[in-house]
Amino acid sequence: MVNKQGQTRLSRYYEHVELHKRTLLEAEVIKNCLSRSKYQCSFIEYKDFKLVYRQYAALFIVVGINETENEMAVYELIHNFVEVLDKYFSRVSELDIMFNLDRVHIILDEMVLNGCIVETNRSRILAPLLVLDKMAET
Amino acid sequence: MALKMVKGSIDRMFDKNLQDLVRGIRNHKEDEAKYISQCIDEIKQELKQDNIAVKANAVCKLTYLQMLGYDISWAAFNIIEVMSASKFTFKRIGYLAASQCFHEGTDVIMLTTNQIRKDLSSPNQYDTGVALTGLSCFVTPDLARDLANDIMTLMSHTKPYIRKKAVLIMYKVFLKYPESLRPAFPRLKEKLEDPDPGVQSAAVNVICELARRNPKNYLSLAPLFFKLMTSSTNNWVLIKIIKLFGALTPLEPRLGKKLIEPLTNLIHSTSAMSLLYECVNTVIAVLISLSSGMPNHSASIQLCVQKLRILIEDSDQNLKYLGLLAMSKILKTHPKSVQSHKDLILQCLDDKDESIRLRALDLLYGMVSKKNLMEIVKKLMIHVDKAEGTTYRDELLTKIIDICSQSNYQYITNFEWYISILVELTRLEGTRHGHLIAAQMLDVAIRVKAIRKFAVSQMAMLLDNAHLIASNTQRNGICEVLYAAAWICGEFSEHLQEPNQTLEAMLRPKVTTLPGHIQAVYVQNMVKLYASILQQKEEAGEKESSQEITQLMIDRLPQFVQSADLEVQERASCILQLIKYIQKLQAKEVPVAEEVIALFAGELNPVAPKAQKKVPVPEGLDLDTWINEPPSDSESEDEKPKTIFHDEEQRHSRQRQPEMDEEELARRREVRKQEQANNPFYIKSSPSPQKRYQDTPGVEHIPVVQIDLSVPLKVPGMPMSDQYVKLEEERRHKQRLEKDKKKKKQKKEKKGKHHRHNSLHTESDEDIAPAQHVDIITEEMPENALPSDEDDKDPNDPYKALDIDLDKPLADSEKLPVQKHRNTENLKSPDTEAPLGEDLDFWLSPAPPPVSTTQTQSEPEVSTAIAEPEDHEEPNKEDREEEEDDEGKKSSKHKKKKHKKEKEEKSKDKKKSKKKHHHSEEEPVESVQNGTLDDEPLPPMSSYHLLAENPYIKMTYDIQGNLQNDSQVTVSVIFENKSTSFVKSMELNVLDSLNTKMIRPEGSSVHDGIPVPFQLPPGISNEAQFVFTLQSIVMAQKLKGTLSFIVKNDEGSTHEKLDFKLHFSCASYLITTPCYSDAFAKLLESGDLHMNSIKVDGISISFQHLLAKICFHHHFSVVERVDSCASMYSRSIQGHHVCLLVKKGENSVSVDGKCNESTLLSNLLDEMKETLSMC
Repeated sequence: MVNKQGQTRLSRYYEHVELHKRTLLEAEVIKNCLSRSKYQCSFIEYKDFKLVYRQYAALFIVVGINETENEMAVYELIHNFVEVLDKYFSRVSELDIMFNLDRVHIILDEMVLNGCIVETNRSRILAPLLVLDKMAET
Repeated sequence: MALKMVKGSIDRMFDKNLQDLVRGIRNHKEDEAKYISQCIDEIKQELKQDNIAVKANAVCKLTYLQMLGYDISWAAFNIIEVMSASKFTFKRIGYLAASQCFHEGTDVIMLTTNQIRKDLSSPNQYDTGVALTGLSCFVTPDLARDLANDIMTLMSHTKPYIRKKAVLIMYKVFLKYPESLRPAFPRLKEKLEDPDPGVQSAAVNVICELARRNPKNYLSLAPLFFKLMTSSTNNWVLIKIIKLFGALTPLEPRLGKKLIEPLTNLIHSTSAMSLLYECVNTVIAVLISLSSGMPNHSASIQLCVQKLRILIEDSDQNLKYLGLLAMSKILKTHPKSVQSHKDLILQCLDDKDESIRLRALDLLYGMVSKKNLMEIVKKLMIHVDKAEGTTYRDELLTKIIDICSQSNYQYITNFEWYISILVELTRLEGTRHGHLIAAQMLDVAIRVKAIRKFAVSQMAMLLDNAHLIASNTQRNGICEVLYAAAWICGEFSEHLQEPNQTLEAMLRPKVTTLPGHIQAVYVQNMVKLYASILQQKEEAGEKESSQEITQLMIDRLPQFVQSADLEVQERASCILQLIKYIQKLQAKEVPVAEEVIALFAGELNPVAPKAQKKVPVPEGLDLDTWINEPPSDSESEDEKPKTIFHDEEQRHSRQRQPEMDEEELARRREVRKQEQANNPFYIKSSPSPQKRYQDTPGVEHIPVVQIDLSVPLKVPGMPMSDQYVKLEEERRHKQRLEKDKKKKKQKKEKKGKHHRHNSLHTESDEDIAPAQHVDIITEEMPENALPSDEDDKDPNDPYKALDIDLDKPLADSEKLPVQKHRNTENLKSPDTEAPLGEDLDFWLSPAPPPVSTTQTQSEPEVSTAIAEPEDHEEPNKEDREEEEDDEGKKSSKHKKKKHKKEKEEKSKDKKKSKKKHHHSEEEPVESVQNGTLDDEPLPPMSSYHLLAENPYIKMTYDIQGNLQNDSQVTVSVIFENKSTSFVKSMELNVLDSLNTKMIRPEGSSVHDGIPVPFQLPPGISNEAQFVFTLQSIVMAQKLKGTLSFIVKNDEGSTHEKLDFKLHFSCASYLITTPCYSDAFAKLLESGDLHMNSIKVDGISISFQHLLAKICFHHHFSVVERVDSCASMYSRSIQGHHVCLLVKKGENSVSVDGKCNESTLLSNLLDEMKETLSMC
């Protein structure tokens, strides 16, 4: 998840990438995304994998997939993820994500595990997080 | 203590939390780095405190910093501390940090094993959950080995939340610790049918990922997945399953046939674009995998193409992109169906989005024909002019070249046009692909003899205008074309109009600014040019001008002698000396031209790009042995012998062939031709398959073809390819008119109507005759060239380790390591797998005709029903083994299975035969069950007979009549690779007889074999089907055939052949057709049947067994059975009824047959006699 200024707001790797390579990779990826206009499609071929991205206001959500993955499904998954965030934070903004990085991670982990989609039901995704919030209150 | 706690929480109030950190960073935009390093110092302080809350907070902040790109690996130990916190809120922070920054190289990771195990078995499902999530990110081989068993236990946890996570983690565990796959697989399979859809989907995900890498091990799961696919409504799961099928179908074409229908249904019904896209993709994969013998899928292709068209026409760019992507997959196998959408794809070339344009370009490759090539390339050229980005322009350039040069310039009708296109492309600025254009120019000029004259004139023009090309920048890639231009002008200098002018151009001082390798070519070729000028002048007797030209060379060459490039320098100084010598001779008025030209005599033949690699190492030559013993290390360095090949100059890629004597050449050619004829990969050379070589050496052996040029050769200035388009149009128009005239005449003779239709020009490719009669010379290959060199698989592929046969029963040694203190809850040994391969075969075999009620079950049910007879099988097998081991002792186990034992005793006499057959191909017994009422177990029988066998391959075959077609039978051949090598490029061919013919794909001749649509890794077997047509079926037939294949192993690959005889017995024309007894009686009464009978003595097997044999091997079904007498029925593919009455006496069997074709009957009975006498 990267904003228009190219600052990473959330990153998750399902295969190990070295730290310094991560920053380079992220910078290049966002450069690729930013250079595209609205009338262009949301898939970019980047090196040996494909980037699927979606833009929400100033935030880009970019997912790197290999060629066997279904681009359209990932495209829809991104929206699903944002919908869940929207529900939890009630109208999510970039700041919500920044200040609650750990929570966003939990949501993401509930949805995607190991690079595979685990859960797409909104209430089931949020269940563990709500339990957690309750625990924190007490 | 209490005080400390209070102090800790007070401290916390002053600590920054994550929010403060984020805010802080935002407020220090100018000195962010400084602020962060300050924060890291604070964090280090916090981590030193005992309070776990403080530590957790610190770790949380570190996670954020890590995301920004700061290394936090130094805090690994603290992260583990936080992971082991008892409070979930802290624990999860620890795991999050670990999952973000731990990896296989993190050394403290081994400290976590016990903590993770504790968390995994925690009563709190969220503790377990977070541990699983974390583990998925940083699992190492050690962790995987130690925890595999714990995670496997969790796969059967009561909470679906845990189950689904555990299932998904298993995939990572398999990757890191492949030994765990076999023990865990049965449970994983169980999860496919988990009541919770989430768990189900997780299992589908894992198996899909596994199967994508090693599909063949998962074929046996196909029936289960098929059931899931038809029952599931979850689109995410459906996508995965369909993707999985896409990976499986190439291995099992029959599966594809089964899939087509449900997939097309889904395509019709679904509204989810992602699912639609996946379905289309898999349908394409299915259609690719189906061999050409299976017709009637044009409907599905049409459907796919239509749906894709809708996607492409959609305003959503994403759909457009995907549509084009999928379209390009169809293009590979069904170019015709895509070609009809040419309009749409050309439209996409104008799209605003570059990715879409690129995809459309990919498609263009397959759309061109002789007819539209010029038009399409013209369009692309316009794009080249308009394109703003260099990457896109370069892409266009390569595509143009690809499109034009594909299949040996198959679509080019006018090479002058192509040369002009290439020349136009040189005007591109800043392209990286100058060498590509150059290579094309060289290739065309060398291989298309007829075009040389034109090419030379164009190249001379390029040389003349070299300043335009080379002027821009030093590193301009386009100047590579000068390399080609100089070479072509030099080599084919006899075609030059004004050689003097060209030589002048090559000697310009500006040339010295070109890259060294180009200058070198310049120098070499100016001598060739010089030689031919010299010859001309001498012939014309112009002594003065020949001396002038020599003087010119001597004047200008020194600029090259001074070159910084060694190659240029060397060549130039050699040549300078040579020319100085010539000058001396000229002064003495000695004619020299003949000798100078002799320096460059001989034709250069094109050499295939891989020719060098394919030269086989001669027998007895070992490249690794030392020619001289290597010097000992003690020798001083400068005395080291120079490597022998080092000093040889870098050879020019188009090396002059060493002259060989005539005989040798002829012999080699013969060998090569043979090779080419046998090599399926060899691309047949030219559109006009004229004699490629005549058996005379030297220049003459390339046939000189009369040039029939309809375009004037002298095109003033730079050529415009457009002219050719116009000219071509005219030319074609003329051709058409002529044809029309002819047709009109014919029509007039008939009636003279419909003459309008003819003017609607629907010309096909074949109608267009090429403008020049062109002979494309094939590239040369060394003799005995090895036919293929496929890239081997990457040996480091992590997925290779997961290529494990999952159907074999588990051995004790394979069980997962279990922690000792847990030994009490011993791991249940997973059930031994039933041999699923057979189920699969049964499941896949086309459903029997729905005549009897027992056979009208739906397919998934059938697959479960099959499990039953195997239950009979298993215990029997065990018992038998026990009996053999300890005859006297009756183990307790034995008693338990007493009832089974009794049953077994009944069939004691069959035990032996059963044992014999145990390892042979087992065919499900159900196929003969329709007449057997006893539950007496039948011995397994195989309808597959040995076809042929050699040390590499074993072929067994079975012939089945085709229900739909009365003159076709399908021969299923199982190919088994018995060797340790890889077997590929199998091709099966038979010698057709008048009566029996193999159906070959359209357009192939009767001598062409049919490629087997798979390859065989060592020890693998697979089945392919071939369809044959028959005219008469009353007699048995034999066809001779050959299987040719390539065996590839470490030593290399060899071509092998295996001859066989395919025996079509009369029984193979029969189709098991059930018949009711009343219908049977009517048939016998009708009286138009011929009769025949046989009697066989010495039958010892039971009647039941005997009937089964007849049913199975001769495709009969039992109509009625009374005691030791039975009536049987079958029908041939051409509709002959065959009725049998089988009676068993003491030791003999008599068979009375009735059939409406007497020859067929007597042949059938003969065959039956043979079978029975073997009993």
